[in-house]
Amino acid sequence: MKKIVSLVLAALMMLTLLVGCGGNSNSGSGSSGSNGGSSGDEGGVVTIEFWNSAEGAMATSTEYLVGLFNDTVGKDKGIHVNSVFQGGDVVEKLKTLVQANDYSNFPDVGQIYAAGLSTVLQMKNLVPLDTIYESGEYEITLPKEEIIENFLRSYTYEGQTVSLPLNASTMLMYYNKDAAKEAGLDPDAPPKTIAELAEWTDALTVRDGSTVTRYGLNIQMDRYELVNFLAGVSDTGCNYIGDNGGGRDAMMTKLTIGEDGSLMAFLDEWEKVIATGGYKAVNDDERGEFANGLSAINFQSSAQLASMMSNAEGKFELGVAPLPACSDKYGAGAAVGGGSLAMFDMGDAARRQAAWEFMQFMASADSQVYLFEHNGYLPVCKSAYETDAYKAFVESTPEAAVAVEQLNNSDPGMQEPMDLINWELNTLSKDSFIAWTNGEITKQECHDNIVDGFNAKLTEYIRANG
Amino acid sequence: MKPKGIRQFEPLLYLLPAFFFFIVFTYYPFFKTVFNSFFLTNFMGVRKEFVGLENYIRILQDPAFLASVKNTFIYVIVSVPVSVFIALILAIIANKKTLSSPVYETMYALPMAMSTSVCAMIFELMYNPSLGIINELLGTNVSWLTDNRFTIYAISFISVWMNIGYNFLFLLAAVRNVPADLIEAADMEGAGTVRLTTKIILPIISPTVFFLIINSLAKSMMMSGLVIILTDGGRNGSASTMISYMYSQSVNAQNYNNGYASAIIAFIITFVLMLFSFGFEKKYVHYN
Repeated sequence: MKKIVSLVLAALMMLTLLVGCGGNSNSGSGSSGSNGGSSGDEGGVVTIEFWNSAEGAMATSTEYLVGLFNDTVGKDKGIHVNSVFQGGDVVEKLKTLVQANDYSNFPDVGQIYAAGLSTVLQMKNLVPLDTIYESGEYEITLPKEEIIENFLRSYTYEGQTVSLPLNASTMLMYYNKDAAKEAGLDPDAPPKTIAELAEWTDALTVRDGSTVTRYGLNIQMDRYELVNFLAGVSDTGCNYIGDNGGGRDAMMTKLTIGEDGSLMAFLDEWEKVIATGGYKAVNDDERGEFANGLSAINFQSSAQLASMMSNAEGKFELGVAPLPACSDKYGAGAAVGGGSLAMFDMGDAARRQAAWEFMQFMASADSQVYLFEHNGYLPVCKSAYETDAYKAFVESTPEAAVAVEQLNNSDPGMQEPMDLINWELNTLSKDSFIAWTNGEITKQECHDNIVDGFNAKLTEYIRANG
Repeated sequence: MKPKGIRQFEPLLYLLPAFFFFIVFTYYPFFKTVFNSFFLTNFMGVRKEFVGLENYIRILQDPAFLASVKNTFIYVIVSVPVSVFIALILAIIANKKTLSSPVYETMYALPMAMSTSVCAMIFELMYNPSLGIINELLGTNVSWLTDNRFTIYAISFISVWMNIGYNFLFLLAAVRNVPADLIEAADMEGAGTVRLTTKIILPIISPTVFFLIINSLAKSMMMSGLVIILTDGGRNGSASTMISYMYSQSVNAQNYNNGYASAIIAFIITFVLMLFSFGFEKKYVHYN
């Protein structure tokens, strides 16, 4: 009897399993239908999905703006946006969908970093920004001319603008003004060149015997830091880092910073910083250590402005300055980084319209000033700089204006390069600079590790993907 | 009585549901990985051309991969025996049931309930060279997570701490199952604690110890979470393990060619190690 019961149970289990699988495949093939339930046209309201990678303060701001859109413009026009956090990199998730040939589960709008541009371009349901502007199908409230050229170029590949800039930032120098005063430096005249940065680093370093108790400067030279310092190291005013316009005119095939001597020019100057002995090349917790007075100068994105200010509050006076130029020979400037919004066609004109409405809202003057105030992201549209809110904020928080000034002084061509395997450049740069600072390798070896190491990896990548 | 045919078929029926999931989630991806590892694959995972063993040859010449194999072994050799050994000592200490037993039993087992990422974050703070408590207590000035010489040991330490709880639970149950009369008899014969442990308790609980070693061996060979969260592979791959190398190649560098090949090599090494361990079973594990 027991055996019969167990047999029946086993058979039932199998059946459930089969039904489960059957159901699965059904929902798989019909997912565009089910998707239409959660995102689509329902009772006159068009629901669209927005995948973001906003973390920390930006996450709060994103949620606020999405909520504001739903309550205002969305309500008027019958649009509802579902915002979904998709981890640090939305493109990674989209790639998984493409690999499974599942275009039905794409979002209507995705937050895309410049590094992911070439991947996004291979997605057949992408609606490039240029297409939106040129098709005549969409209602334009934010003309393309309204968007600042530096930011547009960030998201342009092979002459085609792919996505709409959303959150733009540049790297800034943050320093401890109190420490500068104590060291006899003028806190209102921060270093303008790397050589001066070395002098500051030396003066700001505090030692107890042979142990450094406060580093003058703490910066781990990741790819982001390196490309920013190199952005202005060029006779033409703008260093693309790699060939084909930094990978924007066509696929990058090699780094140019080796052959044009720009990397070596920078290393020659940076050597002075290392020589002070007060430079920490490792990021254990750069921001935490800076806030606790364990280092006196730190470089971070302008998007960190709000958190850097609140960290320093009550402890010391925070100074904010543009990046120092490599030397007197070169101009200053920084590469633009940040994120953008890309539209994906979900096969429904109403959803495309809704998506575009939402994208324009996010890039509009009011939303951009909000991001500027709460995160330190630079407004991407020109009219934002004319608003009263912007002017009032800059007056009350002059630190916020530094990034804007830096942007105005930067050549529009200064962008983070589209180096495809940016992770490799990150690792090579970081490892080589730490080893050089520790005296494990020479300056020349640091240079060659970065240039030759990266070019070899890039060749390997092009062979598989070119 | 059932006909013979059904009786033979019945056990297979029970296996089917599990087998179905094994096929979908384990065997199919495994064979696909083996197959793909002989091809040049682009970043979308599309096979482009057959290249034979080229992917394998390339990563076997990559110092970063070789370092990751070495690190995996260091990690396994340090973390597996140490975590079992400490758990065993704790289990023997906690063997006797007293009023306070539940309190320290829970305390010993608590690390088991911690997720890897939470542990990683706590230890990241503790290991911080300037703000962390470890340098403060030891009076040292070591960059635990960035100095090539220490990183893999610092990570092994975390995993020892994390695994003690799990191992402790199993060993405590095993130690408490050792027949009391055996221990009493040995005690009367004048056997000390060391002799009692090595000659009586260890042989009796050897199946449990063997299970724990095999289990943590397999898990440790596949370890990657701590390395990825805390060091991103370390300088020049000095802290990477085979699986963290595979992850960084496939996901970060979008290089599935190196990713596939390293996955298969990691599998082969682990497989051989498991076979080797099972060789010990006959000699040292007593089931009666």
